[in-house]
Amino acid sequence: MIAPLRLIAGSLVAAGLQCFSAGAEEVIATVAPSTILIGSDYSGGSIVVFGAIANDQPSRSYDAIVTVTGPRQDLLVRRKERVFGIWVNKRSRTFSDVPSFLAVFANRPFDAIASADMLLRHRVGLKHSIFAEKAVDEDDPFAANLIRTRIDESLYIEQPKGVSFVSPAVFRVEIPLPKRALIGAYDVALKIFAGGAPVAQTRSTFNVEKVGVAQFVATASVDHGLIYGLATMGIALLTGWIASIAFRRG
Amino acid sequence: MAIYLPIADLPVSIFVLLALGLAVGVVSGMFGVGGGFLMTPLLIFLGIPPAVAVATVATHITASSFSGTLSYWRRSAVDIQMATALLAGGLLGTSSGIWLFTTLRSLGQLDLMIAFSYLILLTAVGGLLVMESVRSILRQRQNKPSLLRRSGGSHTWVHGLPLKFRFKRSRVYISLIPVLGIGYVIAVIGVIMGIGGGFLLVPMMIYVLRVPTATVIGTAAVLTTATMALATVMHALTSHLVDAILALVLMTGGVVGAQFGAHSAQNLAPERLRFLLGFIILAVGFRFGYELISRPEHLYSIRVLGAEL
Repeated sequence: MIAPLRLIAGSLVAAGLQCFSAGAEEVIATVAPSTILIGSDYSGGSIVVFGAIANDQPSRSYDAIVTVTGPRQDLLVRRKERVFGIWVNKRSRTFSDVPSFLAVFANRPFDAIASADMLLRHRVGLKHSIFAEKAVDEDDPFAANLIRTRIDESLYIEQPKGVSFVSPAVFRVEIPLPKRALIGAYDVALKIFAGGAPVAQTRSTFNVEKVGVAQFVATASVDHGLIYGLATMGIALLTGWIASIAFRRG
Repeated sequence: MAIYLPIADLPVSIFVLLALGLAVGVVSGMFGVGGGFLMTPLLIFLGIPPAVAVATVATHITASSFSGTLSYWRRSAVDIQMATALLAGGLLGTSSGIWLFTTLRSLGQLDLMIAFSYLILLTAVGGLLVMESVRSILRQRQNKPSLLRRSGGSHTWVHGLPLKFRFKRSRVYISLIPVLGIGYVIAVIGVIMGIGGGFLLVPMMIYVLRVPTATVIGTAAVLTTATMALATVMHALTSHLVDAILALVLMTGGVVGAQFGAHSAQNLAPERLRFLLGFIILAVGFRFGYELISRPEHLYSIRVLGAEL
């Protein structure tokens, strides 16, 4: 599967080199596959991102940061507290537009790529990519626990050595997708740094869709709730009837 | 081998689900209960979103209790008059239950209420069953007649209520009020807790209505089938959270297990069965209690807003 992807990346690099003959660096990217299909046998998947830097200057060494962001959702984070000896949900905080999935991959540790200030300003790294509203303080206990929980569930991944350069200007990264991947459009952002400063960036996208039985069931349950409910009930009654006949003795 | 559950949105091992269905099926067949009080918490433990678990267990129980209903029907162990009366109360209870569910949800402490209801109901019913069965086992050892054997003097306050009706099959002459009331209460509890309520219904019919053992389980199975079939359609219509694939795998294991359970139950004395059931119910109840009072591993929990999950 990797070999044909290499070919695609190769032709992409050639095309890119022809397009940009002068000026500053540009980065071009390809994401494969362009659609992740969730069928009955889906149990996690992965995408491969190839990037190529056009107009690269041989004297510079480049760093690449690839960020994949899944569909965003509003989350309520609740904290349990002890009241009369019983643990109940007490305080809570709402976070809007939080990524359902977030993967930040780079070719070397972030602090080696750029200064902390620069990383924050360009929203590079897991912590800086999560909250759409800039007012959120990432050290707030609710935010911190949200991040920690999602890292534990492999929904948020930070991998400082995930991107590998196959040549000084071409890189590749494979990003795993979670078992509970939300369907929808996933955003892929590539940022190229050189000498601690950003020099180029681009975006791409891929989709996660349900197919086959999974898609049929998911759509039917929402679009035709009554028929779906009656059909499910019918299957249940039929199963019960078959069982009572199959096991009838005497 | 993992199978992707399209509504729960996650892959789960098909063998784990079949084994779960089988195990809960044995319990449900053995005691004539749906087994929802075991299945729902176990599915949540597997990582299935609670709301999907509650909705899908309704479908699973429909299958296993319908299989039971048919078996008892063939043995003429169903009191259709009583089942109808219970169902009339049940339909009313289902609508009240849904109203209460949404109200509690908007107050924000639904999870706590559910955990509390589980704790109180399971420990109370489990405790009563264990105590009663131990007493009758001891009485039998001393060759005394069982307490449940109906004698002329075993009338309670229930028998003083008006609107009396003669249930021919069960041979009880009793007011319709407690019958409708029990159907109502079971349905309300069932909707809120996501269970069929069989583990409550069977003891109530035995101890309050004094329905003889011959018809109690078959009649309870009819009521459970009807309310859970209705709940399946209601859940599918309102929240769209019934996972047909999950339900199908669970019920396949469930109906097979139920038959094994029903067969092995025939070789056990009723007192011992009640003791065993009480013990299982009590164990689940204690587990809920432990969860409420022990310090949780994660103090923080995340809920997706906008979705029903």
